[in-house]
Amino acid sequence: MLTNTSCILAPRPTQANFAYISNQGENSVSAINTSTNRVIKTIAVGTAPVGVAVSSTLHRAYISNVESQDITIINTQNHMVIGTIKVHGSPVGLALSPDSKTLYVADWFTNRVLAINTHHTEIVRALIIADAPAGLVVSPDNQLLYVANRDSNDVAIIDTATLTIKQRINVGKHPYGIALSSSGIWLALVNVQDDSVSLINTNNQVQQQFKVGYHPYCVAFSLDDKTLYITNTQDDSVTVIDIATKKTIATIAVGNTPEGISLDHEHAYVANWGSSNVSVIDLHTNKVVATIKTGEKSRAFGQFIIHQ
Amino acid sequence: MKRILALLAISLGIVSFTAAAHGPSPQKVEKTITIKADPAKVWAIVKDFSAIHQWHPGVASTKVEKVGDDTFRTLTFKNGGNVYEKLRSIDDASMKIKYEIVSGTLPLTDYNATMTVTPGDNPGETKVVWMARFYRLYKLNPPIPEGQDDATAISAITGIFDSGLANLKTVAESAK
Repeated sequence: MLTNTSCILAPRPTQANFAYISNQGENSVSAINTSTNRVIKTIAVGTAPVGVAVSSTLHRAYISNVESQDITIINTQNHMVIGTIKVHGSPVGLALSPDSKTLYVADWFTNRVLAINTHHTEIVRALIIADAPAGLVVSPDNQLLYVANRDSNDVAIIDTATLTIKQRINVGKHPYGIALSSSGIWLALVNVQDDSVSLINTNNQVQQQFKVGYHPYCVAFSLDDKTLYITNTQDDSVTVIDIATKKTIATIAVGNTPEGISLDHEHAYVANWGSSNVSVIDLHTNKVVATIKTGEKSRAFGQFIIHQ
Repeated sequence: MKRILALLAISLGIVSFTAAAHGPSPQKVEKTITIKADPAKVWAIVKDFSAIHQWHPGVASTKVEKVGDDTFRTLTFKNGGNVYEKLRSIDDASMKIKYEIVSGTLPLTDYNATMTVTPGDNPGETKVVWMARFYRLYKLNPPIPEGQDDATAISAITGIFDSGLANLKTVAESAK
């Protein structure tokens, strides 16, 4: 054991990672320190928050508030609200470009995707896309935006430079949550009403579908691109799929009605809408190792863990 | 039979839940009651998908049918409405029953519910939690027509849960 003095002289490197959990039922966001798994602050946001996007470059978290029709901007260094972007529509899904210059917003009811300049938020481009755009994600090279269109049963591939649709890929019924692997090779999305997940190779667009639990909602890749994690809202579980063998390797019981899921190197964080908490899964054992009380009706739709 | 019911639903103009879009925010009603009876006894009442009219004061009758491996029930309410529900699962180990609404007259969509029975804080006591997730009827942006908003949907389910749990307690505590 080190002496007190050496502790002071050699502090641990400051590596503060946080998970931002939107709580629909109490119009707040729970900021969780992922090294202690404690809620360090509860932040008041707009009405019925759902989507989350984070930027370690900008030190920002963006929260979509679907009922108040706006986006709350949080400074992730002090967890203070520093601004609001008004959206004339129903913002649900959020995603940032890898360079953090553009915030993409899926507007549920007006069937648009908005591209907001994060440095000048009054500069907004818009694209009419399809019925009920939900989850969205940007390729690592910043060239392509993928949007799951829930009521069109397809994924739109959008050229980010021109904000035009390059292509549509038919998927299962009611695609919702979407994710890209770190390499950008694999695109995954859940088909809520088919109880399946689509895994698409972005190089050749070959699509595989895997059965998961009842009414899946969100999907996330492990950072090594090898494993898929899917929340099953109506089964209160997370399905774990090994991509190489195409096998379900675990089904993990979590809280009630799990929705959003994000991963870091060691853990998966799952926001449980029904039980208003977060289940923390150890990625090595695929077991729940902690449960963190958050706010009423936790959703956390999007990539909600920041590494800064 | 399912097809006939579906046709009836369309002709009567009642809500169909299948593959419909819904509002952006799911709603929740969660109610809990403590009953002075053993958990096994309460669970035997709760798990009987065909007998909710025997303890729910708002339900006039229950009609159960099998379609393949699936079990459905039609509840007729004393106030004249009805609902067609699908059984999702009955789990004796965790004393949990799950079901969902297929169609009916309630002012909501995409409804699913769970009733969970657990031992209470004291011996001989049981806790019952009834939880539902659903969306309002109106699928588009505000302004939302009267009777199709979140508050209307929540109020309808709150009424059903409160009256149901109160009478479940009465029935379970008086049953031998």
